Amino acid sequence: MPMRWVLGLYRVFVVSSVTLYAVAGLLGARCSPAEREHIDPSVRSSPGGYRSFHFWHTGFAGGK
Amino acid sequence: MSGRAGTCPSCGSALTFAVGSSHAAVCRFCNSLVARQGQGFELIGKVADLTPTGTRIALGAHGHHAGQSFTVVGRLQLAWADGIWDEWYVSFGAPHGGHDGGAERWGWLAEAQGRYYLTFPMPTQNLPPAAALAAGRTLDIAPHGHFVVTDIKDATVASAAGELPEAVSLGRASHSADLEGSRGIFATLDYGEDGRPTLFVGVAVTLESLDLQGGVPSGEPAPEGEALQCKNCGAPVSVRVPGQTVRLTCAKCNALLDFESGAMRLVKVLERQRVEPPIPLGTLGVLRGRDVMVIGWMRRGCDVSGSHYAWEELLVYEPKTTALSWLVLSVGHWSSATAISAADVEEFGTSASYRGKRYRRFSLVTGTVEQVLGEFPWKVHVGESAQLQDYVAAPEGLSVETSVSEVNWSHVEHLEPDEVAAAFGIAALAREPRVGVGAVQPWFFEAAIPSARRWMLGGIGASFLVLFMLMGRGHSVLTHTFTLADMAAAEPSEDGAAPPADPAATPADARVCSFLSEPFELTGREAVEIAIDVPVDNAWAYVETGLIREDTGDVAIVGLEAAYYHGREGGEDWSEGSHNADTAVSAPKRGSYLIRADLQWDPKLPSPPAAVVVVRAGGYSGLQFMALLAALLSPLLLHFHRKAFEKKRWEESNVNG
Repeated sequence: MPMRWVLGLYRVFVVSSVTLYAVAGLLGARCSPAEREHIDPSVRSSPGGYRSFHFWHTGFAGGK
Repeated sequence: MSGRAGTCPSCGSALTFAVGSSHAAVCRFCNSLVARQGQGFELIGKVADLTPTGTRIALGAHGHHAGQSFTVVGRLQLAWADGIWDEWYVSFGAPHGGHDGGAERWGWLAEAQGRYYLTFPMPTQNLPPAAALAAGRTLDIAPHGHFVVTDIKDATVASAAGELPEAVSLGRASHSADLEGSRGIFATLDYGEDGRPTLFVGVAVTLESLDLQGGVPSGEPAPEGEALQCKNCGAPVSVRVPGQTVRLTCAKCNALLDFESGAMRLVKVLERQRVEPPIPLGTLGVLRGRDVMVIGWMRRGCDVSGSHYAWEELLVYEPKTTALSWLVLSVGHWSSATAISAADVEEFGTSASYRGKRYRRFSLVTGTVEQVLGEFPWKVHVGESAQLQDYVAAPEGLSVETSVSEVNWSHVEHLEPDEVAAAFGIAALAREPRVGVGAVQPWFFEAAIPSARRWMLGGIGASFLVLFMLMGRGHSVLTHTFTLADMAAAEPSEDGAAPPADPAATPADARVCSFLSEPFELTGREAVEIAIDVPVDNAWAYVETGLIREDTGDVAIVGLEAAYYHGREGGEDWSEGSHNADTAVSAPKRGSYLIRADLQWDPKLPSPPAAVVVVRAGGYSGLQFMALLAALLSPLLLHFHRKAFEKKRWEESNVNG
């Protein structure tokens, strides 16, 4: 009977949704994307290190 | 008064009054009605032979009611316009002579159209006169409660057998009214020749509940049927329920025949039907656990706003209980209708209540019989009309038919076509198309909703449990508030390792200060949440954050803006933006990490704002949690489907609420 199928599908959906959320939470998965870059070893080993190297300013202008 | 014996004044045969409460008896040898007069017997007259009614009750039978045993000691047959019914005289005292008759209790067991009512004589006072009665009227009869007048009729004593509580006048017409109270309470008001009412109050019973045993069979035909001939064409006519059938049609010539006293009488020859019943008459089936047989069919119709509507009704007989009910087919929608007590229904304007359930009025029409086939327990005729009112609370409904002298309530239940098809073994019934939404058709997902609701609430509960568990795993990595010292630290080092910023990428007039955290460890299963709170006022600030893995130099960069503006324009205050922003980075690999945060701020600001950067590891995603809740709430979308379904149903209503 179609109604049983609908109900069965919803049950599966509930279980899988909650499970997915729990697993994602336990593994620390997030939807938010982050830009990935790499700092050259020469920078890391230079005096001042990460503090002095302005390597990722993206040109945000801000404001109205 | 005690029982006594004597001889019939007519034939001299032995005559016994076994019950003290009996005042008359019918001689079983000569059919004389004899009344007790003092110490002697008086001949009242001769009674006609009993009309076979297919009854299953017999004189001398013993039964039980409310923990008391009784004996069937007499029988009265009453004739009215639509046929004959039996009233059985039952005694709750010792049935045989030599007892103290003063302690006896007696009553009438009425048997008509497959229904049984056991009533007892009650003291009569403050009862309404016959002229004050009307079908559907409610009476308050203390101390018995409220009753609804359901049937008013005139009847005459047609025949009798055994003993009787009084010497009835043969052929005398009497006026009576049937009253129905709540929870099966039943009463009758009998108006004698002098117009004075006699009240009998009791309950509706079933033969099974009475557990009748023994007695002398009357030799009447069994309910299975009786072979007779049509008075019009001479074809054999089978009466399937002789005990209840009053009128029937000949299957060959379509003659309408009255069936009384075991004989046929031609009423008229009906126009030949073209439409045949969807379930052939005589078909046996098992409907919801009950063995039933279809014995009659009629097509009824009504006119509403210039349109003609028709539906079919099949009369269904249950041999085991002798009860009658209806199957109704309307534009492909099936339902069953079973008689209920009018007193169990309360009407409230446009709604009615039955057994705690509220029903909404759906239709009010005058229904007319257009075609008939088979047999019926009343003198049905083409053109017969009654006011029909339907109330619905799918998958159930109430239906009331009102005429001048009768009001009949029925409880209606929806039936799926495949259920009817399976019940009668007619597969084609399941394939008949349905038009629109039936009056009591349940919404398609109705049965699934309770279960879906439980799963939805269970899913939401489980989600919150997971959420609380994840919240417990979160911990703070750092909280930093930018100060002027950070600005100083952002200046190029003296060894000139790097310029302060990419001049092409940073706004020319924007300023930047930086913060670099101490190293911290991440387990590899912890997302990193970064949030900023900047007290800007009509200004902006931007924090670009890098999560740097120390051993590889891999960086995950996220930018967060806090901008808050407000003012007054056109006499109205406005504001936009926020002091806060946050984001998260999926769990980086296990290792040692640093946070580098660069703060840029609006050049209009004289100094860097006191921006607060908060970094947490672990925890939960509010966004994902909200998405989960929204997904789990998806059954609520069915609400709109249901509204559309109900709209379609009520488009067929001619009262519309």
